[in-house]
Amino acid sequence: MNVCGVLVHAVPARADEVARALEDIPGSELHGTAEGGRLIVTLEDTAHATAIDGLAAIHRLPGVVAAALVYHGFDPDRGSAAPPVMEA
Amino acid sequence: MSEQTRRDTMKLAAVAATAAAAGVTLPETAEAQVTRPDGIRWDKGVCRFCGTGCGVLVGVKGGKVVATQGDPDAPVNRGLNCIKGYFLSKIMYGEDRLTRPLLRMKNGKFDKTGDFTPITWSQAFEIMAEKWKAALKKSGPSAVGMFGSGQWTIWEGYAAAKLYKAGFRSNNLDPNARHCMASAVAGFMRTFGIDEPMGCYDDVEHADAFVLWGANMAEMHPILWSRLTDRRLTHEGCEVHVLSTFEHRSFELADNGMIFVPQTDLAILNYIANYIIQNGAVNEDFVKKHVAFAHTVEDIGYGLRPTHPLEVAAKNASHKAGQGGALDPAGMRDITFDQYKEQVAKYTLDYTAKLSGVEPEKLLRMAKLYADPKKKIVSYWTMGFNQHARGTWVNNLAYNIHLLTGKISEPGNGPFSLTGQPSACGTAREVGTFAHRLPADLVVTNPQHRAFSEKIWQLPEGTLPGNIGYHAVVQHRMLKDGKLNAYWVQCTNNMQTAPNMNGEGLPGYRNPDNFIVVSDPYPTVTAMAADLILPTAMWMEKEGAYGNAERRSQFWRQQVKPPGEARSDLWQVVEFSKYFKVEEVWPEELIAKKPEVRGKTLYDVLYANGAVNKFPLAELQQDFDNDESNAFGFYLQKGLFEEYAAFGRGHGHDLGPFELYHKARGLRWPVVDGKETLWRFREGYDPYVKAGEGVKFYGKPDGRARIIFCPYEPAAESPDKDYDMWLCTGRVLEHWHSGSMTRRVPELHRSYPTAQLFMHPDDAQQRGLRRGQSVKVITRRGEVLTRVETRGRNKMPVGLVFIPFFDEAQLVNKLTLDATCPISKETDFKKAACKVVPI
Repeated sequence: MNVCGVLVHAVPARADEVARALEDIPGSELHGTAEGGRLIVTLEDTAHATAIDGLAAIHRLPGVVAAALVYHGFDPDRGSAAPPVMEA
Repeated sequence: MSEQTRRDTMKLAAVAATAAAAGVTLPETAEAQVTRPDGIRWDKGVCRFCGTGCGVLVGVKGGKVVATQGDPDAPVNRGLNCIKGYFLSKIMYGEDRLTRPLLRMKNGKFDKTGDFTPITWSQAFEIMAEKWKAALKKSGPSAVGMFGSGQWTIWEGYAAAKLYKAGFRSNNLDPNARHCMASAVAGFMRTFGIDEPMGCYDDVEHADAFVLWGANMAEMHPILWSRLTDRRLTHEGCEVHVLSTFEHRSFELADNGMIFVPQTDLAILNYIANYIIQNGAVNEDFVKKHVAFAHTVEDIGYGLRPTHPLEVAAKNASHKAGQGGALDPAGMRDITFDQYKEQVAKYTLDYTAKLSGVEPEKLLRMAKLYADPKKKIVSYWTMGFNQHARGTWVNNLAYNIHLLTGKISEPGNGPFSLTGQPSACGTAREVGTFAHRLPADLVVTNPQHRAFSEKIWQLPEGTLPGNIGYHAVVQHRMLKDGKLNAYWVQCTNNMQTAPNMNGEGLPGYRNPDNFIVVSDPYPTVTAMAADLILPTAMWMEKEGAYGNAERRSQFWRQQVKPPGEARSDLWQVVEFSKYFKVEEVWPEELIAKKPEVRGKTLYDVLYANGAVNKFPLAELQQDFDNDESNAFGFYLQKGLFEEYAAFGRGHGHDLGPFELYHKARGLRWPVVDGKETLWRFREGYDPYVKAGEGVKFYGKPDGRARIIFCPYEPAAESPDKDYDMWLCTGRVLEHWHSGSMTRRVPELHRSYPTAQLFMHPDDAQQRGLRRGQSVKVITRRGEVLTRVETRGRNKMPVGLVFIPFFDEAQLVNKLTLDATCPISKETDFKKAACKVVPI
């Protein structure tokens, strides 16, 4: 289970448009906005997508200049497998 | 606590942290900012990845790191984190963590062809000591070596340098920073006579323009990029220029994006210098007072084996220096301003545009920007400059421009070499873990520097060897040739990341004459190619210190215990020293100069020497573990740091007292009277510049920086009819370097699971390839199977392909050429000739 806080930088004139587009990203939630096109967003894992998929989707939104992760919490009991290792 | 409640509490903390980073307080988070959820213990730390050096708050519960947060009090990142930083807490918990030493064995004995079998630490050190002693006896100190890391903590690098240079009397110690920052170091030393940037990240908020030369900051330094983005969007007239050999994510913010033919950055930089001179934009007062001119030695070869036709043909190739009139490739001669002006005159707009393929109006726009005395400019670069067969030159050429215009060493103005590793500066460079270096910019070839070091280390005169040891690329060649026989790799995955793997690295490791030890938390490609694997404690499992790209030294406390029998690199190095009697490693005539060392171990002489073991356990950080200090019975990290700091204090490299760093969010050296330095060489900022001097480049005896003319010379390998494309390799946002940590974070692995070959759609079509199709990339050295990507984040020009190197199933370094800058010895990973064929 992942929960993260993301500070999104939108082109100031397009901040509202970005805020609306966030509604279509599973696991994302807008908590507030600040001057200069800054949006305070959380992302959580959903049944079909992880928080990181949501982050990638935010990056792709028109009008988004940057999306920076500020906080990450996770449940350490729910780790999953490491990738396989190849012998040289 | 139910899962939903736990999730809500975490979400509240996430919102609070994000709002704080945005500079606002939301009603719902007012309480969460004061009370932390869930009984988590928080402490300050430093990110494990790149050279930006972001501060992170590390949350521990039940002996495990369970949360991380961008540190709002860290001046570097001000509460922000990038995607890799966000998953920091998971890098220690990959399922295949190594927890016991593993030796290749058959029938209960070491066998180079045997299978990895668990053994004890004392068994591991016994076989290591046996192999080291045999190598020393057979061929002397040149037969033992070590490959270290810009990810070592400061004291790990220092302890290792001491063990090798003083203990084994071998300079065959080199860090992976050789692949990363060596050209930057050589550039600094030639131009300024002292290493590391004069400015700092605060320049971002003062600059009017930014020029990125071979740096994809959007992906590789995302937090600095967010600061730069903020400046671009909020400061009127601010502009961003980006140069690269292909279009990457940083171009999204570019006002002037330029794609140039590989290697022609040399010509572009000379063109700008020429434009500045031709248009009367030279800052004559600055140049007259603070600069001298020089001309570099030309035709210097490509750092290949001496038998390579390119080396045979080059007049001043490294191996010829001093013979038959050949000059030292690092050499230069004094010239006048007029002579310099004449040399750059041939780099006209017309010539440079044709050579580089960049539209003339774009070049002109950038040249005008540099020439405009009213524009404050920061130039950034990373691997595009440093991993370059003329890497030292290209660094020098960037400084030339800033020196001609005087745009240097003041807020908002300056050239800035970014770093790729968390302590490439703090450890690899400052501690002196290179084959030619000693701490604080001292070098092994200077007898006075050796004498000074011997004094601090309390060694008999003549202990330290004066020959330059084997550097990274030569280490692999010497392993293959059977001249380097006992070899230890710590904290790096060099089998995957060094060039020409099948030609040099792998045959070197598997040479039956050699014994290879690899310390790592995970079974990397390098570990699996070794004879003995030592399980390593990582990051928050030890007390540590890193130094970032802006000269900021940052400490953290040990937060958690390592798993199983894993031990830190520091403990491994110091413990190993106990297995050597002085008589076994030093000759009798050296011991005779200090008879009291007779019968002692290297541990006694190097670490229990009255200085390193000076601080008692009572001084340890209260309420935190410190496994190494408890094992040896004294505050090891503090003792090593204070002994090391003696090298630089009073010599322009001053570090503050140890305890200060456990309190501060890092300090930028020189730290004099507890005060850090933001801009070096400038009166009012730098305590080493006296009142009335204004600017002083005190790294050079005459106080003058050098403008060094370096010409355009072609790459070591260019496309031809057999291998018709340029091959470039590098990183992606989601993975750090060879992926040994980030590929073990399931989320990062899933988001970018395998490497791809980025290619222009026309190149794909011409070869009958479709997007996603399996292909073979072939060079003169090897081949790699991959898939074609014609869209995505990187847009290739026709004739060039890019493949990231993080994926151990696609070992890109089977393809690369081991050509290096002959001055810095850093490999050019950005230019090889390849062909791409369907399978």
